[in-house]
Amino acid sequence: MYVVIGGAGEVGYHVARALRREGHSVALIEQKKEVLEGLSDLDALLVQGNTASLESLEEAGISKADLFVGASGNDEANMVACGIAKTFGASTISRINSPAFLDEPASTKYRKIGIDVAVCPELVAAQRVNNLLLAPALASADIFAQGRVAVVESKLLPNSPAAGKRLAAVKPPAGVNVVAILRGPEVIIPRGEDMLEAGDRLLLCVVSPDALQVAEKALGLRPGKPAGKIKRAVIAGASRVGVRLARLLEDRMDVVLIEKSRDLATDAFERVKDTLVITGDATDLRVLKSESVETADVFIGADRVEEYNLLSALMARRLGVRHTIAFVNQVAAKPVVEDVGIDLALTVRETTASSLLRFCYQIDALDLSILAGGEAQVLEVQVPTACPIAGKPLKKIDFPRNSLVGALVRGKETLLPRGDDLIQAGDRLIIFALTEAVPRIERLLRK
Amino acid sequence: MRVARITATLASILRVYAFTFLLVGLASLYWDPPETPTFGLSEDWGLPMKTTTVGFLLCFVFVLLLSFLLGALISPSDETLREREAYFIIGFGWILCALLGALPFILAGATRSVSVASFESMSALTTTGFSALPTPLEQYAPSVHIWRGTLHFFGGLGIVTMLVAIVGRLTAGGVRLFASESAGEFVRIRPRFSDTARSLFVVYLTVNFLTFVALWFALRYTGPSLDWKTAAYEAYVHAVGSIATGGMGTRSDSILAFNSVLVNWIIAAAMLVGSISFIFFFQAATGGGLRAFRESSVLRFYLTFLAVSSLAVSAFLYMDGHSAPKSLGVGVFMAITSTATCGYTVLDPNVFPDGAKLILVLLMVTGGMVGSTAGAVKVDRIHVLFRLSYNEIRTLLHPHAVSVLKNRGRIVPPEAVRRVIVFFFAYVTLFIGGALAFGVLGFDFDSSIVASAASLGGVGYGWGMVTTGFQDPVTEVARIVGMLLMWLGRLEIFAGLLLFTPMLYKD
Repeated sequence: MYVVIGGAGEVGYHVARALRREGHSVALIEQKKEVLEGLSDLDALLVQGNTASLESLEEAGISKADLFVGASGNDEANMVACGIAKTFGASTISRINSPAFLDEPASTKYRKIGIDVAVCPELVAAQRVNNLLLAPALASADIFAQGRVAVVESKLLPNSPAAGKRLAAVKPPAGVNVVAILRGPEVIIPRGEDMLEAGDRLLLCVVSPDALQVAEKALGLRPGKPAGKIKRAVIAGASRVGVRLARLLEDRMDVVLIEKSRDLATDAFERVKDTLVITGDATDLRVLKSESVETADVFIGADRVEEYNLLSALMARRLGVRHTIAFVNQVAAKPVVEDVGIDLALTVRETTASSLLRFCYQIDALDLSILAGGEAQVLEVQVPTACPIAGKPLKKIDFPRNSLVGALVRGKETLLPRGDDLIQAGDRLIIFALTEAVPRIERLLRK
Repeated sequence: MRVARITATLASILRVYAFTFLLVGLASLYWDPPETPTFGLSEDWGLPMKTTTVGFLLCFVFVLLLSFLLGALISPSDETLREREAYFIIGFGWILCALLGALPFILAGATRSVSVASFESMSALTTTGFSALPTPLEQYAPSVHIWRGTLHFFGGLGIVTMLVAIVGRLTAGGVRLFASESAGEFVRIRPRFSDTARSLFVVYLTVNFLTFVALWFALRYTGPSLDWKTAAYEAYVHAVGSIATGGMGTRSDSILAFNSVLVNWIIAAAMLVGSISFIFFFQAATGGGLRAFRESSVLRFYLTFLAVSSLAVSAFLYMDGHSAPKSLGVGVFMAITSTATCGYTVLDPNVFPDGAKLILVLLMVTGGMVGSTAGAVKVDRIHVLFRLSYNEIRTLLHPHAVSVLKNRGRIVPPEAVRRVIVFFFAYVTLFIGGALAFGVLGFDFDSSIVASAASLGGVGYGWGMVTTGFQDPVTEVARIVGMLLMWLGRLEIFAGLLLFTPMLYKD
């Protein structure tokens, strides 16, 4: 596949890198010279120019492209560029941030002007947090299949009985599947013969909260914080993510949104329903106390400024808020933030990249998550009707080596499949795979 | 201010207005009995026509001539109307129309008093409904009642709206006139304001017609079983009286005379329709379905408010010894007639217990919705004030919370909120001032309160000294105070008060 990507910021870069790893040809268009200069390690055609200009697009080879991804931070440029790309016959995906243009995570409403799929990354990010708050434990988790399958990251303690053993010998309890081992920068999609080491971070696929607690004991994992019932949320920063998160959460809990700027607070107020919007500084202890932030179950730093998110979340934690989440800008800052005691650090850009990537595949990807900075992916895929793998037992299907079906959702049933289980058309598979393995999965599950 | 601009615009208003005299004149040919009671005026004329017909035709000719005279002064070169001119035209136009509308009452022989005729005309045109003509009302020719109804019909939407709807374009600055006449924020439902006026007019005509048909059937085939000719004119007067929320009837004891439950409920429903924003009906008719009704928080508030106060009035009546079904029926009807600022009654208001009277006065001050024919403060403003109060309470707990008002997900601009507060203050002040004035003029406490509330809000029913209206022994001065309140209330106060400020006349 030949892919042209408009915009080489962090979003465009992540999409480009993932597609490149999967073996596709990639061309990037970027206005800023200094940004392009920083991309010399990427094996891609780099074009300097405006994303929406015909010359740049032609220079990037739009005439032979199969796919165009508008990934720049400028909505109008993305939309126009998609329109132009469409005239050359490419499939198009556009990132659209402004709520005035798009108010749903993904939409085909701009198909007539040449945008096959319009994606709103902030809304995807807000939805991700919304999902996370439904998870059984709030520890670098992710949620699939409308909250029925949770992916939980947990650390193997030094005194763990499982350390030094082969995975096959450990036998995790029913309802829990070890789907990935994160060891330093390395990601291992495990087989039975892989060894577990103390300090490994395990990704567990979990279908019930109880199973997780059993597994934590059995495997000697650092116990996660049970999420408990979340009834009150405080969000700092009326950024696009902050406001959208408030709108998602206000239906099922009390939400307080704190914003420094009076204008932004008023704009946010216009867009929410029942959320209490406070004008004030979320790093000001008096503001936090006068709004009784300590009674909140979760605090989310969602401002554009990452330091502000970090500081306000730490203050909230000190006041006694059980769960703290902070949005950071750089993917690299995530572990640092989690090290200082924030439960969860998230980046909008990573979510943006994964939400765009999801539509780049020729499979029916219902959801996609990027793991370990792009090394691996979690895909939620529906098995198409006319698919060669439908009706076969799992062990007879030629899944690539570095991939694993972590969970399977069939109607109301959720199961962790074993080798003998049959895969049927219409099943939703939660697949864990190294990024290199994705094209082969794509071939297996093509629409 | 440029006199020629003003007279030219007034002339165009009068040109349309003149034809209402002609139409009622023609109606009088058919409906008035040959021996129309004329209170001693007819013998002197010796004309081969009914005196009422002659009276209306004379008025028609006079108003038409006046319009040509005003229009012929100077032909204006500059088409645009300035703001101050627009306000003057609105304020003065209503007075002029009311004064000209008084002529038929004198010429058709209903009264000889200028103050009575003017009061009657102003009351009808502002859709108030208080009468000053000596009772019983049954003694007057049908054409007199038709004229009162027609004034309701003309004044219901507002004279400028009517004019724009009928002749299309008024002047380049006419949109200012239109905006200053319709209550509060006027809503453009179509890109051109003349189309907006026309759409409102079509809705208005339609609901009037439907009410007319329903009433005609009810009067002809049930209850009173009137002959079809009488039924037609009674149905016309009461249909326009309900939809325009005017409240002038043909009988001294209001619609009680028909003794028909069906007629009562048709009128109650029509009054309620007349007090709901016509924009909703327009949107429903143009494919919007019932969405506009369902999504309006003001309508929900209004109906809740109405339901609660109906029950309260009913409870007071029940405790006063009326039967339960009667209490409920009368309670609902009286609540609607008060808040819709109509004024038809189904029970002599003098027998109401004090608690019920108190609630009814409250409803008279509240009024119907913006965009309807109802008057008074209007429930949209009350809704805003309630929400402001709630915000104020919340601010005590959350001093830093953003607390601005939202309407359909949009922030209400602070100036609009300010206008609501100031309007409410001015309204209450005028209401109290009016009551004081009536008190000074010899009204008792109950009467002065209701006379002020019902005049200013355009309600037009009352108790005590104004049970039947402002007839003698109510003094001429009191009638003038009443007219002033009705006029100010109809012009949403400030547009009227502006006429008394010298700054309007300084260029």
